[in-house]
Amino acid sequence: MKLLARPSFRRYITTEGFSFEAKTIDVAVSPLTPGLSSVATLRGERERLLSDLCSLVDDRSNEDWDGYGAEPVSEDAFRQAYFFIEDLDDDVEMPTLGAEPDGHITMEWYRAPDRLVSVSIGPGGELTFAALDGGHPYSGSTQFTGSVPQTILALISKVTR
Amino acid sequence: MSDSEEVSHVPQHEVLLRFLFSGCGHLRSDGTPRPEAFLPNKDLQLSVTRASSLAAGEEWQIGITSRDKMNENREGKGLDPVVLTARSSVLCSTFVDQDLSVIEKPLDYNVHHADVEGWPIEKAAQKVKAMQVASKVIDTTRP
Repeated sequence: MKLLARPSFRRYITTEGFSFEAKTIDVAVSPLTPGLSSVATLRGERERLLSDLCSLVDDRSNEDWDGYGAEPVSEDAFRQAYFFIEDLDDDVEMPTLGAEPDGHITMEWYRAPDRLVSVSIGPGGELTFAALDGGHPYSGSTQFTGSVPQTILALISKVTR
Repeated sequence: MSDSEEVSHVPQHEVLLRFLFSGCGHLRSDGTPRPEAFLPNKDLQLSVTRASSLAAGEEWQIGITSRDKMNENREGKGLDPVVLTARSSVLCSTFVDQDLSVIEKPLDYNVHHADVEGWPIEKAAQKVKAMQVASKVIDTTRP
């Protein structure tokens, strides 16, 4: 079954701020208020990312999705990634998404092969991050408890500046 | 593996292929591979194919044969077939520079098969190594 057809996932997608009405208001005010148009763009990017998240989980919810024995991406991992993305401030660039062999969801901020940040989140909110800044490596792990850790925000800012 | 079994390391100058299956989730929009493409499986192994002794065209044939073999097994489990989406070329020395070992592991359908081993248990450390490898990919092509 597609995730978007599942009641539990539909509930997230209709959360306040991502509804059709919210999008309509943004579009309506944007020609008159340039400042708000950038807000509309940011909201649009986040909405696209959440849509990408649903597609990713749909594609990766079976075992061995990579042919090398990968674990499925679970609904719990989806929820954790959803709330992580929701908690990113509007001034933080939206990442692109991927999945890892252990079923964790990755969010990547990419500038160049040697300048990027990758944060993965698991079903229990386990956060693992790694980055290269001009080839210099950073890595660590922590727990997602509802707000994006400052360590990770600082790393994203440093690498994407 | 018992102590008496010999381990054959792949020479560092060899080019290795990493075949990517099922969708383009491991590729960025610019066609470069994401680090996830180089993370090990749950047995802490990364499957690769030695390319140095392959004839032109033989590289893709190995990917296709591997795909077909995977799909034979998947059919029995009721899983959707995988699709061969790309292959990345990496120098063996790139893995060795990350303190990883590339060990010959020929299979009945791919005598050029090898596994990248020696991955750390800590996931953060795995991610950094996969990132370093991805940053040094020679090229990535689609079939």
